[in-house]
Amino acid sequence: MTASYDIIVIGAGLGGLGAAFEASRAGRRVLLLEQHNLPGGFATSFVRGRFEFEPSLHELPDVNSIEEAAGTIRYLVDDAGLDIDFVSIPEAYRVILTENGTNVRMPFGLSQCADLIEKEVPGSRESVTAYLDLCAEVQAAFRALSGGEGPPDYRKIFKEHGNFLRTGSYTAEEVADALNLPAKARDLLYPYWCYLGVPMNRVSFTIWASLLNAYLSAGAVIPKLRSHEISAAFVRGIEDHGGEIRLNTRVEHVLVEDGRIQGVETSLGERITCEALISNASPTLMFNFLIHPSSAIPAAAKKMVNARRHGFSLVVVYLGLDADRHALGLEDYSYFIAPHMDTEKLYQGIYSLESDEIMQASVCLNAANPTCSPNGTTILALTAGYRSEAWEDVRAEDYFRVKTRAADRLIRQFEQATGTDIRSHIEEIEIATPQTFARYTGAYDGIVYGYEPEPWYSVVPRALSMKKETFVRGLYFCGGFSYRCHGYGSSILSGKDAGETAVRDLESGVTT
Amino acid sequence: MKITVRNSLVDMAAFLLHLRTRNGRFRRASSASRETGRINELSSRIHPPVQSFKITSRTEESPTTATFRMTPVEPNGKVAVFRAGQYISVEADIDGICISRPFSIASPPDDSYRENYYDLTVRTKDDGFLAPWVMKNWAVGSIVQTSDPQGYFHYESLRDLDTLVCLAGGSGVTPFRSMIPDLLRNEPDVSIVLLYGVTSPNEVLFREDWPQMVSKYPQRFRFIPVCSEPADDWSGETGFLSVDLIGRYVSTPQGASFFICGPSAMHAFLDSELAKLNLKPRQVRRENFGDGERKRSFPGSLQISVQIEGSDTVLEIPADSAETVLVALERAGLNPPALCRSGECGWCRSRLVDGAVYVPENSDGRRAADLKFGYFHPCSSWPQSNLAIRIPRNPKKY
Repeated sequence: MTASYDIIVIGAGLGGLGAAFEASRAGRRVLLLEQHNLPGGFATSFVRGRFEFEPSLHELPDVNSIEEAAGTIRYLVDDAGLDIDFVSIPEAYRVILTENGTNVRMPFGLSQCADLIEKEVPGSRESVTAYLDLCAEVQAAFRALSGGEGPPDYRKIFKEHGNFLRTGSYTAEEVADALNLPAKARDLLYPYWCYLGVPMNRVSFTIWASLLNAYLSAGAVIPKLRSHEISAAFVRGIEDHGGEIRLNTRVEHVLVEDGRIQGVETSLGERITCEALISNASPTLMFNFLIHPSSAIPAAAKKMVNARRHGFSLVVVYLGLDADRHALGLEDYSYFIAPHMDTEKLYQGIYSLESDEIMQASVCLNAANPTCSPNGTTILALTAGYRSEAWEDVRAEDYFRVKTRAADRLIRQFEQATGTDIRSHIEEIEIATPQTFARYTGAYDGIVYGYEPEPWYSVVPRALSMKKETFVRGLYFCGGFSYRCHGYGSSILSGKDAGETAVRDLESGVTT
Repeated sequence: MKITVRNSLVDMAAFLLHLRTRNGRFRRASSASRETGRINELSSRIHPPVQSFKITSRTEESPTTATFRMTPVEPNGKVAVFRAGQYISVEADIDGICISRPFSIASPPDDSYRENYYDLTVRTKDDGFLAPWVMKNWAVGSIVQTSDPQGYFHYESLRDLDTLVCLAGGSGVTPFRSMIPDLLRNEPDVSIVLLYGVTSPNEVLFREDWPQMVSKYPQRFRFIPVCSEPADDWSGETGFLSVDLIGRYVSTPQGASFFICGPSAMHAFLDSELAKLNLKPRQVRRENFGDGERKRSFPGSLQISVQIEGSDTVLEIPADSAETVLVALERAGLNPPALCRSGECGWCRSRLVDGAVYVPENSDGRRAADLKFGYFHPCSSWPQSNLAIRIPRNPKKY
């Protein structure tokens, strides 16, 4: 059976959903193929007993950006017109560092943050304010640059966004040093590093600054019905615009001939042709396993994949607790808990299953979304980054024991840091590991984050070389491994961009 | 404020050198292909999409029950790892109709891994459709396709208490034949009481295994068969699994975790019995055996318009308000995806375009956003009117 579409999208993660939505909205014949029986990838939910858990989303930052051009929320609600209800996150986060006794709740708002840090670290206001202002400036530039359609106008950037350029090639640590940010202030600001997954001495300052500012300055929201609500709303939107979705359908081969996309072959034996193909599957999967024949994979594409460092995966312990969160003493939404905030040491720690150098980013869902579980119950999810390498040598036969032990460590760390009793209230527990993420999303080695955004491979160089990195005519990438880097907002907008670009190229005949 | 990291010129030059750094790194990188990820490999040992087995032995447990031992067909194949208490979904093609039913793995994990097999125990009277067919057709040498191990009915050391009360009815004892030896061997702090309800003594399954476990772990395991229709020579417990009976063997039920597996009538009875103990929900785990039955309270003769993803054709199939939508789909030979058949796993998740279904509260595993956007689980939904639905394709080729 051969069928034909203008655009095939591989993978219904957030990027693929955004891409299929944009392409079908533009009137193209679109087919979205997903190997799992649910859309969403990481943006999904699961039910155990009387609890429905959020698998991955902690917050969608940037809520005040509704008036601005590039904000994710504004895109979802106003532009795409998706039917999603959001609830707000009450405070930024609590930081607990067990070695030096730090235990501080960070508020939203840059001046509120500066006030709080001044209280904790007297005399820090000047450098902290300069630092936070710089972060805001970088995000504004970043947004202004990523909104446009043509190549960037360097003269304009130079004039209006000088600081963006001057800091753009440095790591977050180098910029903090230049501004003499006190160590104690870093303790309070750096916990958010775990959402980039690259230590501060390696992460691109541009990406870091944009993320930190998006969260601290403007607050954040989550969908009321877990992130599955985003995915289900996208599916509704795609179908309303005439796009087609097939679940349970794995793409086995991406057919390439003469350097040009031809179509796909699926696990159900279909051969489907297309003009353009948007891949939510990573370049790692595309250039090692998907393109067929393998002789059509350019060596340069493999080099590109091998030059990048793959990001980390996660262990998440999902807990349905049989008591009210106030009775449990869970007064915060977001808890960052670590022995210290030496991010390089914390990063090294996640290569091992036995390390105590573990940072967890844990969320009590009810603190933002009181009706997410029945009265008198609480949903708590403990999340820690792990390099997939830490799990590589686990024998299948030992897997359940190993993951239970990993969960036990996180629960103990949480209880000790917060002085709460979680264990005797566990009604439902589920433990996700890199294996779990590999199983449900097909991600290479269960990686949750995309390629690590170091300065040389941050969003700016990625954007500037995007065209060069697809290697095959008619092929586009979206999702956490694409040019905007990982995260909910980045993935959604990368899908939107890829959908729009593919449609534009089809109209101008570039792909043929 | 103008920010300087090193000095203004260097900062700017560094930015412009960005791409050169990138290009250099790409040029120097290896052009080797990658192997399949080791985590992806681990995943395929835990959750292979399909398992093929050959039956190596058949043991008659009772006139209506047999235990089948099965080993992977592939010469180097290994059984997927599992947690004691989980099930696999067995597939069969009966007169052109593809159906699947979940069966608990009846062997402990350690044994299954060491000798590379699963035991499945099948009893004719539990399931009108597949079980009699299996009893008639499965023999040594038969080839069987199943799913990966599934389900949440398993001990969890981070949640469960050290005293376990296992309540089994009929063939609902099968997961305990995996779980109990596993816990006795690997969780030294756990002690277990198995209260096993049967109608007559000759229906006790694994009758030689239980006394062996008792004699090996006399301090930690008690086996109490409970007969509802005993013969005159029965000296054991009689009646049903009531709170009074439980109280005779469990001194402090508030300090125990309860695992219950059996037919729906037993679950209904135990729900009201256990309510007297004021247990917390965290103390009680349930596994339902067999498709639920319902009285026909809506028209018996209904129609479902079915569209399968990937096809524009709409099929009209008959349905009955006394049977689930999944059963109607299977009767029509549509081979829909299904695993748990009790609402919880969501594998059959489908779009409810039009019409009304009844979903019992205790088997309603639908996601909140699925309710909002009109999705349902056919395996736990009974039609109350004519329906229009769209179902996903079955990912497995037969």
